[in-house]
Amino acid sequence: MPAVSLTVNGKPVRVEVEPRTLLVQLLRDNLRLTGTHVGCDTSQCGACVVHVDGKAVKSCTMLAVQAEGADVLTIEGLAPGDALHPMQEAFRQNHGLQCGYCTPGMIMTAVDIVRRKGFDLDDRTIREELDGNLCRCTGYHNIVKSIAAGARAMAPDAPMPQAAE
Amino acid sequence: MYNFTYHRASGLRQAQNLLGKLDDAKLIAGGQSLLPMMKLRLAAPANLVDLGKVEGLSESS
Amino acid sequence: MSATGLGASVRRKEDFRFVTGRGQYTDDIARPGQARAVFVRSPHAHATINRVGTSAAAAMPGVLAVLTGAEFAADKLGSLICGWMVHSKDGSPMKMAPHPALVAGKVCYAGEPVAVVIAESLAQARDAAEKVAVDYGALPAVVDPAMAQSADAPQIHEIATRNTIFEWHLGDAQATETALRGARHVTRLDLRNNRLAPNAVEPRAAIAEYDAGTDGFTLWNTTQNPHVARLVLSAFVGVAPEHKLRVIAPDVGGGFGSKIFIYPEEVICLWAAKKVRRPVKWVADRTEAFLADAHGRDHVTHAEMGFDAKGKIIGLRVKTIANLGGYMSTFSSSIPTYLYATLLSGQYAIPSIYCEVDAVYTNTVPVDAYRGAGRPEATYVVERLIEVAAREMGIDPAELRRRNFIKAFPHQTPVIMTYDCGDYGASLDKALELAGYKSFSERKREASRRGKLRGIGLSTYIEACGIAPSQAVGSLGAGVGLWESAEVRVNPTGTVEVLTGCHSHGQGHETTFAQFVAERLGIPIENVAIVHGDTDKVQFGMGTYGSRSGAVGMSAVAKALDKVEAKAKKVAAHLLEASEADIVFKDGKFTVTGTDKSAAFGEVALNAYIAHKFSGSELEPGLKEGAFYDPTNFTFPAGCHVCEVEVDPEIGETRIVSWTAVDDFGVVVNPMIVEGQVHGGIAQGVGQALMERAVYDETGQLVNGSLSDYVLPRAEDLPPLVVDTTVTPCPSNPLGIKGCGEAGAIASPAAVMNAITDAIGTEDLAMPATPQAVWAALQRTTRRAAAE
Repeated sequence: MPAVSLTVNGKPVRVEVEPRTLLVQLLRDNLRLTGTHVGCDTSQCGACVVHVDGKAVKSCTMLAVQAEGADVLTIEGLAPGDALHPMQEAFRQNHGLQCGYCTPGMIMTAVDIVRRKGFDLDDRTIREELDGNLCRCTGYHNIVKSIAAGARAMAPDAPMPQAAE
Repeated sequence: MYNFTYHRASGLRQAQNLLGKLDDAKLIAGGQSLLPMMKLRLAAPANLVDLGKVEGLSESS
Repeated sequence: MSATGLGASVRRKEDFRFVTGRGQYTDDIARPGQARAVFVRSPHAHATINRVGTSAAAAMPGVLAVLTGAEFAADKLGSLICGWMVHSKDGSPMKMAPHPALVAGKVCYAGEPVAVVIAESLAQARDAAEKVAVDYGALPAVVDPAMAQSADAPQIHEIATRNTIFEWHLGDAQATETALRGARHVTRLDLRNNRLAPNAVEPRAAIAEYDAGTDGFTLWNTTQNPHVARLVLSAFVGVAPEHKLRVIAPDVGGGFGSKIFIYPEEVICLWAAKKVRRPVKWVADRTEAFLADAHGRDHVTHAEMGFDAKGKIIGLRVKTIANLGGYMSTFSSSIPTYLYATLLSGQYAIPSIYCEVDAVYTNTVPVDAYRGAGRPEATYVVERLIEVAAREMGIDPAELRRRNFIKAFPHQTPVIMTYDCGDYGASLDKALELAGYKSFSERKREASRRGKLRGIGLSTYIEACGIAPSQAVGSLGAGVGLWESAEVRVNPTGTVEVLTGCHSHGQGHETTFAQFVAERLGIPIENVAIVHGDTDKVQFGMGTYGSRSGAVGMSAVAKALDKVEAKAKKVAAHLLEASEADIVFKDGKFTVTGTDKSAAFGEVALNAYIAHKFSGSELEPGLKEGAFYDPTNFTFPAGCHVCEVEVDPEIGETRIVSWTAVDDFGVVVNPMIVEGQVHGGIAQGVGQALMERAVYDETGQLVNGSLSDYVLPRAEDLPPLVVDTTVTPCPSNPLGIKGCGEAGAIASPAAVMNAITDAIGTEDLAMPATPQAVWAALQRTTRRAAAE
């Protein structure tokens, strides 16, 4: 079995996997990072989105071996310890989740949208950018609100967060 | 998906050699078309040659 | 109102684990030594199983066992059942066919499990499953409910001639016939309520583990109701005695009804776990979810609404054929009957109603509750009829509704339900105001200048939820009572655990229930923990569906809190050396009336367990009380949704430009969460109206069993949603809560279709109103107009 070496959430890992192992399976089964979820089999739901070398990738549509030498960031690595990344906090403040299953993928996608489109995101841009992510619970209204708020909070000149409720 | 043998091409020439000598081989770059088909077991190449680390091949024009 | 009490938009306690990827869904659990199960599923919709060849598969690497229907039958386990008895007009009981979890004789739908492979890894199990050789004898199939009863349709089950499960009716046939014959105007519609695949983003999963030492089983399952699962699995299927079976629902990623039912897969995992003596884990992939999760809706209806000269409805007659699929699923019989026909009065005072429902078997996956469960179907019938009637009679649709609203309560409908309270005019007025109804014609003109067709559609819906009063549903055929349980455990340190028989799969109970308890007891919300989802912890409960957790679940908590308060007063009386009658509990403190002697809740809690002050008296130590709450009535959320659309006539594409919802849910515990429920429901209704339909071809193949072909709404398909409320508190439960989980999905399809048909000027349009369907309807209208 080939071995793949990569960095996951800042830690180097080396795992032996069958070539057909998907990146999401390496993360979930081998590394027990179960925050990244599987929701479909046709690369359409986005529950599996992680960052590979700084960019959003659907980890169900990437072989683990393709991630050789890559720097992978999952939802678990978005903020250190028990801290919340501004995007995670924004989802919590704005009720951007209900069952939580699509949420890790949504948040990782959202952070990537900010990277590409900036801190001042309008309703239309966010909705267009979410065409690779499905949610069945929220009707998207509060997800869009969360992402707009999270983006503003990620801006370098954003005010310090208030004490948590 | 079905099992296959994975080959990582270090350069363009090696990729060409591999394609030449391997039976039933497909190239993989992004994999966004091939992998979904393989996951549904609609495609089942015995060999995959990965172009991901080949210098100079980062995007199609 | 406190910052964390009833009525506050408290941020959810459960969110921390979900946003950090620390949720624990069934597939996240890895049991030591677990093996993986993959099902071999029939590619045929209707076929005999002549032979199942397992030897090749059994010899594959990593395979522990390959099990078939014959072995399942040999172990004499019971059938999966439908727990709601419905009788036909002639008094005969519904024709419930046997439903073994793993079939041996024949298959009745494409995707039905025929064998299971258990292997060390998922990949090995999948590889081996392909090597199971099943020899089928293909039979003709029938998939359309409108065709299932015809003479040349194949008979699917021996017990059901003409594939008819029951021929049921409700109401007064004679009075309705008389009314319609004497009506000044009758609107008639033929409507299809399109078949839907629920598609919760988390696929179904089960992990079954057998402990040979205790002869006990544990099942982790994506279920909305672990105790109901345990009851059915033990009492009916017989896979283990109830007290030897623990069912755990961990975090569940959405359900919408699809995770209520007891399915073949968890039965087989439990059975297999004992055979292979290893934990057996199965997780559906999305294709399996399409094939094997219960679908929703699938009605064919002919409906007639009769009016007098003043535009008052005098009669409504409905005939529906309901597709229940290849077998009767757990609640399937109730959906097109007692959760459907009983809502046909809508918000209107209708003197005579008659509804006939034929339920049929077809070679499709079983159909059962899906968000709204019968009420979206009823609302679609009623709200399309009244809108079309308004157009036919040249009366403004809002005005026609107003003329017919029920205004005095309680109101006994001709279809069993007694509505207890409501103010339908208030929600209509508010919705029309927020939606800018009066200025719609300006927007229509402006759009027309851009070559676009604007339409506006109303849906004034009512539903019956807070499921359900046990006596009522029992008398209607339900096999179980639909009460709910709660146990409030006060710890010596004054923190509280509330054990509820409900189970949150997105509804935020860990927060909303805690809000209620914290406010009642005057303690910080952080000190309240909600426990749900484990049959070893919560003694019994009926689960979460039917918008019941607030109305029924929290009412049970209220009753338990009443008992806690009563007992705590006794303890406080001892502690404060006063008589019990003089103790008042307010804002977290027990005070002796007329004095300043008091004790905080925490102090009383501690003393309940120290018990020094009252050992020897009849007062027992401890502070823990349980209660069961049985509703006395359904609750009746109601409201008005307004949908405004813009249709591009060149390509038939519909854009929803605005959505306004004004709902009366009674008392609202957490407005933020309630709005979220409405948002989600609207999205699902929009999905039904615009893009979703599970399609079986005439051979019974599900042709769109993937997200590539079955279109789910995405963020771009919806606008921001305007959501507001009016309040008439529910008189039938202690909190005044009506429930809100399904209303969005109930109201919305009619609102969308009313809007699009308004835009394009024809009623000749069925759901889903895809661009192709809308474009074709426009072509037909143009051709008809040209021909006239």
